[in-house]
Amino acid sequence: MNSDHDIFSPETVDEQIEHLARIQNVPNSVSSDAQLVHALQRVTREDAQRLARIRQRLAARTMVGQQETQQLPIAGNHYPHVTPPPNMRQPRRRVHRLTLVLSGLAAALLLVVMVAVFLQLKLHFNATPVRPVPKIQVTPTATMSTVAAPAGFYTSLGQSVFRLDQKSGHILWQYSIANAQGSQFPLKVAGDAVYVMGTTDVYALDAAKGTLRWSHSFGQPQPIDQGSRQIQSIAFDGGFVYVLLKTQVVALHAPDGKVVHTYQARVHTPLSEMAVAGNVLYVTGVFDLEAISVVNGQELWYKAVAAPQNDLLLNLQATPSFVTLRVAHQLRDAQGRPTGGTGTILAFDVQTGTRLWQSQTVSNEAYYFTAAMDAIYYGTSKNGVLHAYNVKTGKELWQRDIGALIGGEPQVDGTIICIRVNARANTDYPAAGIVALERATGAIAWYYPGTIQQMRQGTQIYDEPTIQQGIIYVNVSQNAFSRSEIYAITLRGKVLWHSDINVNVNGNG
Amino acid sequence: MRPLDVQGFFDESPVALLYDRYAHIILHDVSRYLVTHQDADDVVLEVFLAALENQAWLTWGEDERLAWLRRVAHNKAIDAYRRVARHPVLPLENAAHLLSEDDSATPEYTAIRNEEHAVLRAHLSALTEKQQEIVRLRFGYGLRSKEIAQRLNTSDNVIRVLLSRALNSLRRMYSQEGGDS
Repeated sequence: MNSDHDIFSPETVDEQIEHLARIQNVPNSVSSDAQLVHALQRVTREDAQRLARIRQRLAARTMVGQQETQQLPIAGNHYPHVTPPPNMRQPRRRVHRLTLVLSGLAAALLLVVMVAVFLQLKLHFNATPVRPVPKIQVTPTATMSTVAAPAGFYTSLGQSVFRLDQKSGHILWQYSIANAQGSQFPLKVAGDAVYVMGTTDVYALDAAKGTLRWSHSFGQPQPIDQGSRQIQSIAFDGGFVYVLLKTQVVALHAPDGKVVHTYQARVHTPLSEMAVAGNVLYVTGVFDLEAISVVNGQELWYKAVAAPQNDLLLNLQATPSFVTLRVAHQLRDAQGRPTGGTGTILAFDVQTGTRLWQSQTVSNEAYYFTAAMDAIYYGTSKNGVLHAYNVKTGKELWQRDIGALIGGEPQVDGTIICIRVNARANTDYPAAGIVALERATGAIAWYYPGTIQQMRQGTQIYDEPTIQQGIIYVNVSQNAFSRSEIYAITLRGKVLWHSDINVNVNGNG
Repeated sequence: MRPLDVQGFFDESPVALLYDRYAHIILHDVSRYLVTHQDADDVVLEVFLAALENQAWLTWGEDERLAWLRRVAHNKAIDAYRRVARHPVLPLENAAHLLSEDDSATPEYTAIRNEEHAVLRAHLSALTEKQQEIVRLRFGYGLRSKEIAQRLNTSDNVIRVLLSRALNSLRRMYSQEGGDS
């Protein structure tokens, strides 16, 4: 179908492209068609270069695999291949055949025994009245740790974990995780320990001294999942460290790292997110959410909350009052191609799983939110308005235009909410500052740097601010891998100190 | 021990043919989930490493192969998305301004260009796969219609028709956007 827009004709399309490609410096007024051609050249050439680079990396990895194969004795590189004399071949073949026959008989015998045992068990269970069977034998006893972590800022950089002095920013200790895969390990500070989440291992460090108390390995991922994390996330509650794996949640006893219980969830695996609050473990699967009692391992409720094909469940958070998550929905056209996405926040009752609240659905922008006590604090990436909503009462507490675009999850501590913002108009540009608001009223408490104008001219901030023990820590480093430049700021906006941490490429300071 | 002819060995392997056939589709798919080039590239590599390790696809048809690759890519992109969400890092393209004084490498220019590219990629995904491949060969590799026709084992005329339709479609998408805004 031709229209006024159809200027490219099959007969001359090559020539038209070449003509438009020759037009240099293409401002809007000269030629939008030339702009289109230039943009197509840039994008497709960029993609071609990227694909070529990935291909080289793939070839290099193939080479590594091939060299490993060459080094194996069975490849015959280390041991000369000796052809047996003709008269030796027949007996060996007979022995081989005999071995096969005997193996087959043994396998058949084993199968018969297994079937017999199965039938006997089935008869036994059919004769027994059906009743609920407790899922677990070992019951985690919920005990709140009464020991507080020593004052300081706990952080990770490269393959090291650090504790910085809360008053001066000096490094008090550094612990390097030897042979760990990955870097920038998430950590939880609870009681007198720091729990560090590696790719395959969980480490417990003494918070005062920085020494290793224990580590627990969850093995390597399957080859098909190579490059993925074996451990998805960790959480701490009531004296236990909960470790989210792809198909189950494991509770470790915090003092010694011993496995207390393994929770098998009903949700469809792979498990994606986990939260623990009020002795209830919440897990999300591909499209569903489940609440499990950590005390007896029984399922409390289960909800299918999204569609399996096009939805992702993200940012699962729990408070003693409600549990909340974000549903990211992918839009597709008639041919099934992705065309964008929408996002909605949902909140559920902890007792019944009943839906308490649902946010407006937004298109092609991200929701950022944090749940604390009875309230949820949320905003979107293309809108500078932060909302506070009481989920229990169903009332909006306040909303505030913070003067800049929201660039990260709100961080809540006592009376203050602080949030990373993007002070520039373009949302692709990294966030440039921190805004603190009064939690009760939403009034702006302070900006860091001092004003929105200073944010626009100043350094970008790529990491979320962290609040530990009443101090806000902001990392302004432009190098996420080997340097942290940390500012410690009080909840009232006073900068206490600035400290640099550097590690070498191997993650050691 | 005789050194391996790495590139030759790889070029003749089934996984290389699989890569050449489908990598651009997988790259395009994962780019929908992941903002930075590094993350998207890493996921594409992981997908074909998975294919290298599990070669069950050798006996499958084209549609099944692509469906499997897309499934693996989807899972790995989700993993990467979550990794990135937990640890946002500076995309290299955003750091380009550190390397040059040129106006075209300023943060503002880079940000605008990235947004333009994202829009263009979204428009490209609305084309048929055949049209996408022709556009890729025409602009990415500078091949003329005749050369593309030889590669795709079809006639010069078919390529010209598909290419001109693709470009006119892209123009319409841009003009509709202009009209909407």
